[in-house]
Amino acid sequence: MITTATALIDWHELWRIVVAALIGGTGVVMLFGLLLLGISRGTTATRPAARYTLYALSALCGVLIAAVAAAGVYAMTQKPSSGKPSPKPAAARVAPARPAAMYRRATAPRQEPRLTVFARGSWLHPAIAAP
Amino acid sequence: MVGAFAFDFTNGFHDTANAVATSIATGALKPRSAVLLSAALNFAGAFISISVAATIAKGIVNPAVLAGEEGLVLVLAALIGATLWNLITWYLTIPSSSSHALIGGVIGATLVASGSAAVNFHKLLQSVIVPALLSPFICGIVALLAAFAAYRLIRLLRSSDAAKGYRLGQIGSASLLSLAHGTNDAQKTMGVISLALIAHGDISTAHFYVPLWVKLGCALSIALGTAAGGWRIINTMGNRLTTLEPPQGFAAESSSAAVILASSYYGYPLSTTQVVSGGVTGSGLGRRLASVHWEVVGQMVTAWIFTIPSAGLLAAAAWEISGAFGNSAAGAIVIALMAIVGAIVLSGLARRSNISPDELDRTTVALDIEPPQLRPPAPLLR
Repeated sequence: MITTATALIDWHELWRIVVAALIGGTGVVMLFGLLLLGISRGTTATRPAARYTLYALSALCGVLIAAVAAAGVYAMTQKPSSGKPSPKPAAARVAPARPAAMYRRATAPRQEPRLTVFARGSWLHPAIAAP
Repeated sequence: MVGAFAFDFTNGFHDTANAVATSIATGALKPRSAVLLSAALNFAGAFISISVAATIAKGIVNPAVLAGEEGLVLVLAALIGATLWNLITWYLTIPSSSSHALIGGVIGATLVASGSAAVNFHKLLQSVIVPALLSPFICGIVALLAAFAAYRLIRLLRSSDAAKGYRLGQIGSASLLSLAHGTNDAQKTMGVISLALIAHGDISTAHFYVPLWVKLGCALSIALGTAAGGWRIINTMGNRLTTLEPPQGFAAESSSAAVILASSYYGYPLSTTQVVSGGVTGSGLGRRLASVHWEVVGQMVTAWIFTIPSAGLLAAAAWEISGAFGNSAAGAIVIALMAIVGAIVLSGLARRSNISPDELDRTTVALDIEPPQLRPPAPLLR
């Protein structure tokens, strides 16, 4: 079972996601709580120095939250699948293990794709793989 | 293309709950304002990144079966299967994954069209099933810890300050979630339409680009769908899973956004619906163990299990009906008309137990967060 799970799950990627989500999710909630705490206590603080310190703490938390949100938007623009994929090197473009006709049981004849690719265990669309 | 836009509309309509349900449930936003904000951000999100190359079911189905005129009919059958399943789960008020419905539709139509050899089941397991099993747990744990942390801090705050503050914070977290949803989900439909345009010869593969009208059309469809507001699913996600307070809502949304964005960045495909559902459940557990309605969670998980097979069956039926007309334009028109009839019937049935946005409005409810006071709050700074 462990072998099967290891083959199916990229533990390294999963671990990075868990850590990033823990830092981002829990971190933002804690920072926001501290921001609220700073504002709440700041308004009731009697000494000006204490008030400014608490407001400064809130401002710092606000900046950090904004930075995390900006990092999130940046992550959206940097998705690995973004943009047109580069064509595979010629060595990767191998002939299909089975003829494409084997995949079809359709009645009507149809045009065969120009290139069927089977590389690195995944199928790529002929349009994408075409140079 | 009409089929793709229709699916995009149901996707926005069905998944509105992901971004705004918790904000509505805690009274952070009025229901109509929430869906309008989400619609605007879904529209903007559609333009943030263009991952059209990530076409539907990439790597799961042999793309050879999606080529040519028959391939387009197959994609239409898949879209019909996914759209109808979205509408069925909407009628049943259960949040389910639109992405999984689309993948299920493609697989179902491919299986009847070309046999099991055209489906890469290992890839299906690796990129769909395993993430579907893991994502609710990951987000649930993060949300649980976040909600727990939030309630620890609330003990040092005045109840009214906490409620007001976290309600405000939820507007930001819901916005980020909506933006992420628009970025992820509008791309799927752009991929479907681009595939159709390539097959039709309108786009050259050598000079691949996504026409502006495709981007605009997809963004508008998902935004209009979101603005229509799937109140039934919003009610389930926001009110029936657990009783949410603003700190929990903020924790659920922040955790969901963090998990979705981290997984997007590292290229690990996750379903937004499942992540948010896990987040809401986890935030429920973060406050009090008994506050999660496990029977609703059970119904939701059952729907998730049936999403891929059911959408696949519907798509397979659509493909077979189209096959009776030679899998040509006539067949496509027949299955499209049947899908429209099915959608009208489901909408009519849903009207019998309609949920209006006014019923969900919690903005006028004064929330009084009373965390357990184990000891008097310590003075932070005097």
